[in-house]
Amino acid sequence: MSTSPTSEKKAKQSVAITGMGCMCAAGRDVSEVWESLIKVRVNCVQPPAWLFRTVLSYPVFAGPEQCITEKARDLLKVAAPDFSQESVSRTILLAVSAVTEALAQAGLNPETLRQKKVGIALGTTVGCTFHNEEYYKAWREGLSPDLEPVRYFLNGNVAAALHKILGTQGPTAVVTNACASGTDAIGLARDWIAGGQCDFAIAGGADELSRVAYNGFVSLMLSDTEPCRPFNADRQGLNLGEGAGIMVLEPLEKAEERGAGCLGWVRGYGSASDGYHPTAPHPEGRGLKNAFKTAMLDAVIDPNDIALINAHGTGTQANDVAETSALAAFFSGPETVPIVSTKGITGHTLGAAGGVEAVFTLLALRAGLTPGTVGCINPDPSFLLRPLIQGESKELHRNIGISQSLAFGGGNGVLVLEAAP
Amino acid sequence: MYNSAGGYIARLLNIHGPALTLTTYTWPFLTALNQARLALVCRRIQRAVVVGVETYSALLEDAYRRLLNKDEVPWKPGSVAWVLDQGNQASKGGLLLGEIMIQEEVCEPDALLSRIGECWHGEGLVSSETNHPMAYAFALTDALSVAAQAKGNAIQYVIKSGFGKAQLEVASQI
Repeated sequence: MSTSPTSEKKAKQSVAITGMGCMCAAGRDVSEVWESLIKVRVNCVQPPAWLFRTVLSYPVFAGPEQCITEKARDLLKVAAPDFSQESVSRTILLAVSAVTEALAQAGLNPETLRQKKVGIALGTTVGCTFHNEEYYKAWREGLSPDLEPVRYFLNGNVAAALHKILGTQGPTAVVTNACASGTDAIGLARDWIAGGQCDFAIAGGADELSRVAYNGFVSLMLSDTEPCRPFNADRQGLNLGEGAGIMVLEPLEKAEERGAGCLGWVRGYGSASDGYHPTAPHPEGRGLKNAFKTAMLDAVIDPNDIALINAHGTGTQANDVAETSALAAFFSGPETVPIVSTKGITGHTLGAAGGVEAVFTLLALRAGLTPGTVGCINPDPSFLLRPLIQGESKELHRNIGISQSLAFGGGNGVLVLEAAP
Repeated sequence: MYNSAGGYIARLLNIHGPALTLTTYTWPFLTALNQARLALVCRRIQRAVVVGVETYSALLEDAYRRLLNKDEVPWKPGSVAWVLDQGNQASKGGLLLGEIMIQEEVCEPDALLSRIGECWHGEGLVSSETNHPMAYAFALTDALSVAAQAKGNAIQYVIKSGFGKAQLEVASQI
């Protein structure tokens, strides 16, 4: 039996996005981060001492020192009165604030969620690692350090921790696909909803800044000593950032039944490996092209339907070449789709990036407008496609956009998001 | 789990499809099986290699001994791998993997380390590695040979523990 284009489109709009939340250096909530993008607020500083100490001069995009918002505090008082901020990682706290915002927009509270099956799929990198340097140093010296950091680590599964805080039950996954983790987590949660495995899914990414990751990126010579300049001719690398970006997903039919506002749909998802190098992307973006093709097929669209590409755009030499090269296989000409990176105001938030950037993508689609890439003044002339640069903006006349991530290990994830009218 | 472990394996095997690395303390192999199954069902992929793996650091072993006041650490490194195909492409005589349900519940970290109270039911499902975090995956893999003999009959496996419940069904093709 054949499927009509209308029913196929309807089927692809079955996973609704009903809430979004975000916290990062660009702001404490969705409206603040969007305003930062519009007003080009770049909060890129030396790592603050309250995060970690370093003699190196590579700036970062740090979130607020107190990363639990008032609203999150209120939610915690009701949902988890015994919760202690000190007992969990900063990654979890960042996630709690973004989740609180997303649930509020979706019109959901823990009490309602406890009657339902709730999936939690979150991407992280630092958030799932044991990175207590003091403990490790003492243990290496043959001492028996206090076990509190180990308990802390065992409590650090960000998805399980959120279930505990919200008092919810359902599928749980922490995606550790490096920098594509947040994108893959949303794709994975989309499958849960489409497959009927849960009533709601809380999906996205969260990650905190850590000295171990900071030193690692410096060692790989991937960090910039200045605020990053994605796609710029003289780009020198990335700045690490931290944050959380969250979406609430649910079956459209159920969202309509309960009168929830639909912000948009996760219309498609594709993922593919480069199979090329542990820390460098394939120079022509082989995996990204495959992921992109898969996402198009999954969404039942073609490149002409796409109004916006929110690229990974880290500002490293290799990423930005690979990404623009891969996209050139699908787009061409000066009036082609706008390609932007939002890392100029967030930094590279690693496992959170896919979540944060999915939020930005849907915000731009809903606004019908995208600002250019902060930090990109002179785009690299060797690129096959010219990205939208700082100071430029473009009206979006269609409502489908791409949020894509590239990762160490050769992972590539592509989300197709569609804004509701 | 190491970040992007799946991506590194994909590179070694020259596989260019999706590579997903998942980290949970409960039943990560089942979570990965579920995700691969969903990707096959929605036809995003034709075949999946699903791997469950545990490697242990001396640091975590030391923590286990001290946290649980034990001399012996029952863990050993180990791995299992299953290959999943789309149902219509599977070779005749292959096994069909039904729906997987995983319900995780909150528990104390010590219970995750010790896996106290973890038990499983289902024909041919026998543990030979009690307290090993991968025991369920080893047992399920061994049980597949029993499932292969149960021509056309579905076998349901149930795993229960203080940190939740998981269920999956396997049937042999006639």
